[in-house]
Amino acid sequence: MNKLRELAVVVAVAYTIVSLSVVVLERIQKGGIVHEQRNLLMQFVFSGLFVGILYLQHFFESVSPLIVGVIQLVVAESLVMLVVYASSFVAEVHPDGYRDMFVSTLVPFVIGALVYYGVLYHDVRKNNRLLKQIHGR
Amino acid sequence: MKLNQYQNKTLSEDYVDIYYQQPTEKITAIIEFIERVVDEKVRVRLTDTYGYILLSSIYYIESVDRKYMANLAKESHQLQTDVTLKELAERFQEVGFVRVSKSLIVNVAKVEKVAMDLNMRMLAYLTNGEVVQINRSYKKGFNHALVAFAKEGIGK
Repeated sequence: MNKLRELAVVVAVAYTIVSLSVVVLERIQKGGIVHEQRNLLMQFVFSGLFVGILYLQHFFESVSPLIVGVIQLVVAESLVMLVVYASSFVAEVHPDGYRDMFVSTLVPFVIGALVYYGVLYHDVRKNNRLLKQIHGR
Repeated sequence: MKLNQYQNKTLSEDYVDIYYQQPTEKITAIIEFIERVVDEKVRVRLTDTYGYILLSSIYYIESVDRKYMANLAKESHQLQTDVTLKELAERFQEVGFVRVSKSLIVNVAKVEKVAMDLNMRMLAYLTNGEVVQINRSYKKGFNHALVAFAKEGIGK
């Protein structure tokens, strides 16, 4: 399982490096990038932001995961809105741009929260079964 | 003082006999030491003296201001030890203690049940009515320890 995880990380890193290198090289060679490549760069920036924000939870061990999650969501949404606002100076933002980005940021957080809740619920049930086994010895 | 050691592979249980004329200070210390090893006792500070308490009577050990408090059903005593909480957790693991946060190790034998609260935290409800929090980064270790104790038993 660890080897599989290691392989997945290497594939993810290699894919990121290759994708970004292609965008940078094309920017140098052709003097510009197409819309899809700009999207790719934006996705990279947002991925970096989200992963950074999610990693901060290790510093708030004693705070409730729900509160930490809500704070992370607020920070992530604020940064995303800021990035969209900043990009409006160099490119035109679609009228629904802010709303779409808000929803796009919200969805992974909601999915993450549901997965966390599901895993925790499963762990609690399993642990109670194990505790009964331990005390029943 | 004469010390005799005998090996007998046919014994069903190991035992120690101590013969003495008078229960001198040295003899008492030897008896205390053996009791401590056999019964898994730890040295604690009592009101105006020191004493020993059974590890199995401890519900959880908490680090407070660089002191380790052994919390029993109703009272708590300061542990007399120089080791870190991590080392304590490792040392007491085989008798059922597991680390559940940066400052706390809990005796699994005293955990009645676990539950999650509205804040999505895992809590351990102890048999004396107290509740301790299992922090996120220690949850995996706690889960693994329960699996091991359920499989092999505590103190094996």
